[in-house]
Amino acid sequence: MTSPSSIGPCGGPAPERLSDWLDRRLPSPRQNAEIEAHLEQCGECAARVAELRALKSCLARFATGGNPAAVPASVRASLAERIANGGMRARTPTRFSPVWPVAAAAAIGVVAIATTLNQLRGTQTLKPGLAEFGMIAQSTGKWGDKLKTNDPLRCSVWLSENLGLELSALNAALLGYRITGAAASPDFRTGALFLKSKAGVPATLLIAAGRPFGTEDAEKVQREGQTLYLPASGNMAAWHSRDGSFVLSSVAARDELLRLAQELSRQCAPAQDESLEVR
Amino acid sequence: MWRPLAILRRRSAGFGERSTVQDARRAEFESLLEEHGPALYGAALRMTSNPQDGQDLFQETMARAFQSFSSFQPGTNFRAWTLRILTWLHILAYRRHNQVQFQPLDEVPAEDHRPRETGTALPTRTSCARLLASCLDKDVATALGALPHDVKLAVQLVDMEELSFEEAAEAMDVPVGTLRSRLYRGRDQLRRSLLRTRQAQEPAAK
Repeated sequence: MTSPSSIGPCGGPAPERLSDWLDRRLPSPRQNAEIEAHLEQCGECAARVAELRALKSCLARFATGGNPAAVPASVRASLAERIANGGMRARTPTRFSPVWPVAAAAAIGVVAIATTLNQLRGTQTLKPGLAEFGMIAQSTGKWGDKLKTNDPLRCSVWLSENLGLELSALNAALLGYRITGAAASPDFRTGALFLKSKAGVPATLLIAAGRPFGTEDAEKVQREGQTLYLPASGNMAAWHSRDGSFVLSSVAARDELLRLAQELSRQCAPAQDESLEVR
Repeated sequence: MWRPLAILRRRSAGFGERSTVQDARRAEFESLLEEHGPALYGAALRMTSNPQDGQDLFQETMARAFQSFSSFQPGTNFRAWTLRILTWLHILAYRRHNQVQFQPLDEVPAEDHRPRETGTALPTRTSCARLLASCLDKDVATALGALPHDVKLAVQLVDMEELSFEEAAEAMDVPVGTLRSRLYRGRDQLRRSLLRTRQAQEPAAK
């Protein structure tokens, strides 16, 4: 049955449904058949579909037509230099330079440290969420007035601009997590992104910058038995087993983390495999 | 018992071996870069408003892709994976450069997505497809440039870069429904804008 909102000017399907049909996005063969039957008898809709087809082919031609843009030699050379440098910026900064100076440290490796966790535990009443982050910001007279959204992307952009957490936000997105909130210690030297996997499993990304992570830290957190860390490929990865949640701070460490996560989930926790789904 | 420090030691001991693995991964990345670089560079140029921004975006994207390459599953779609990074970086840069204030991101209600009629009548429907099929690239570029940023991105990722709805929605970090509504809106605005341009160029088509 066609819902009223899906009725177009001719009394048939709405333009959006025609577009869905063209994109093969209709959910059932029956709906496809309905559209096709309608197109046989409705010149108006058939013409609309022809327009859409023409527009799509026009856009595809625009994207691929003519001579494909060759990557300029200067860009290739500069990129090769960066790749040789492990992807890090070489001598020439680009326009994407992080705003916050400590982002340089974050780029070398987003570091999760035990003190961060303790600080955040100390502010346990601050439930994950941007509102609480705003509260901290307001209490210190910084930035609070700018935080007016719970939108994850805007949240991450804001964090990127103000705390230099761009890599963290990007990594979280790459790993298929949505950012649901953020918090920071009162001195804004450490923070956390609160994430949710596609399966709805929460995770927390702890971030600290400007402080190397050493063996002593690892031993300490291992002693405490709740938070464990592992450096990988020059970045830092962190595992937080409390409440079955976990922490990732590095895309590069993903494979290692997955292996460890599976091992840990076998050893001491209910199956958390769905939380480990990474595309 | 899981012992991370033992693993750390193991990793340190195998440094030479790891270096060989890293070399292989780097060669694999460079091969993919060779294959997909021009298409991705073109996408970066189309996404940005000037060549310099496009070059910066491309370079930054590929450097980030290399840094994150261990998370790329061999055999999967490298172009789609990289386009996701490209889109993310573009959105970050766009919002930074445009100093977008943080406001609740309310999607325009569905009824407001309907095209608004303006004074000039469009050509008759039968001639529309023919006119659209003969659009010039510069007209397409102009029409795309007039779209709202998020709408243009949706159109570009789906209709030009040929990402699936799911891939494009993920790249833009929006639900698929939002992507779809932006895509409809973008296509409809493009259709109208291009038809008006073509109509002006070819008045007889009326």
